[in-house]
Amino acid sequence: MSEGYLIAMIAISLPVLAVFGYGIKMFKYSPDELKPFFYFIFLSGIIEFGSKILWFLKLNNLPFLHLYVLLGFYFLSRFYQQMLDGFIDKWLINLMLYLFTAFTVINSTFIQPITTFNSFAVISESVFVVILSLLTFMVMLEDVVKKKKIKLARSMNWINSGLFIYYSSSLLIYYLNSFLFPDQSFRVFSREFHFQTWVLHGFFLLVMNFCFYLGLRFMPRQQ
Amino acid sequence: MKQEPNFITLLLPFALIVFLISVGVILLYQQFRKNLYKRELEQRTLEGKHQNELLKASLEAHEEERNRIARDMHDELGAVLSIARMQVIQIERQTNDPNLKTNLKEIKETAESALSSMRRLTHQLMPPLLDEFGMIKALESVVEKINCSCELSIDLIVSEDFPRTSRVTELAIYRVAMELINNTLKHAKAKRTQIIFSVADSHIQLFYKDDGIGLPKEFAPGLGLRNIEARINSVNGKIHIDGEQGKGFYADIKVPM
Repeated sequence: MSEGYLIAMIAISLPVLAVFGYGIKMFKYSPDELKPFFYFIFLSGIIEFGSKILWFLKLNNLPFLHLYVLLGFYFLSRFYQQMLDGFIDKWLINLMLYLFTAFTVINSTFIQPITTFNSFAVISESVFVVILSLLTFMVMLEDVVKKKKIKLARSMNWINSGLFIYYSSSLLIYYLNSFLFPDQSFRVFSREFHFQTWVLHGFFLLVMNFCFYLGLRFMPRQQ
Repeated sequence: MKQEPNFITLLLPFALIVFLISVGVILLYQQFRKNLYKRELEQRTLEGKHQNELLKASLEAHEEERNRIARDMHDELGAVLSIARMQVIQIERQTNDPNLKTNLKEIKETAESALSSMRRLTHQLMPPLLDEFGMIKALESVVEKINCSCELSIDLIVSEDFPRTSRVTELAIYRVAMELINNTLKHAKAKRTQIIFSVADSHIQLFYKDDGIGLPKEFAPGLGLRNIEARINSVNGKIHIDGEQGKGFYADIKVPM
């Protein structure tokens, strides 16, 4: 393992862990609407930490990703449910969550086992998150919503932007990996290709976490 | 042999993903617009209801105040004037001075005139017939007085089965009818007026018509008509007014019983 490769892999985790730490600091001030988002940040931090330890121990950390995709979408759907409360019927977001959960469980059990990369689940999660984030942008243009969410609007916009940027780019990255090279998988890619993909992914992760940081910084503080 | 990437394997899944995202966003946005419209409608209904309640409360307070003033005038001012009149009569009996008797007689007449004015005012503020015998009797009494003055001839037609209804509704209709009569007397230059009371589909219907000058071409409702509308709204009623210039004025009012 080259030193540069090691540094890059650690650097990719840093923004996630930094936002995780900042999230712990800010949690006591968080308004109820943002609680599911904080749980998502905590989950991301824990999963990132756990998967890096397994990576150092040279053990397969992909089961963590399967868990992260499932639980991550659960918290994100709850977050959007809170944000769009009163404007979108709750059952619609619940339906998305149930469909996604069912698909992820089937995928991890029969199609892409937990020791392999779950690209289909990641793509589905990205599709759902992109739909919800685009919808949130459109909804936030309405005066009625602006008035109702006036305190949260700034923070919400940053968080939503981060999610949109990361998940739309992830969609492309994972789509290209899954469909552009249908006869290959992550296991047989060259180390260099794997590394470049993760660096690109890491860049979008950094952007998302920076947006998360701004979202937390501008959130209305509840004493 | 490696499979060459083609449209089906490369672009179709991507196009499907983009399509799914677009359809998802559009459908959810439609749902959002529908919910927004529903919310706006509910809010407007709530605002209307709230305004109606405020109006009702304000009119009730207004009526209560009129009632209190009428009662106080009758009980206090009326009693004081009656006592003063009695005292004047007593002094008049006791004195033999003709000058003083003449002066006392004038004071007695002034007190009687004040008593009569006070009685007229209290009746206007809160007609005693309204509470005791209902709005039809109260209106009949008013119409009789107006017809006697020969200024205007009013035909009050009431259907046989016309019932008595709640005090609030009767008071509202009575005040509206009085305002309409007042408007006819003040502005319409009318000779004849027709007031018809009937009942249809559990609604009280009041049809009012005069043969006066009607409404001007560019008519803007004044305070009187706005008061009428407010009173009718307060009892969940509906009013329709019309009147071409030179062809008289009419109002059609429906109030739930």
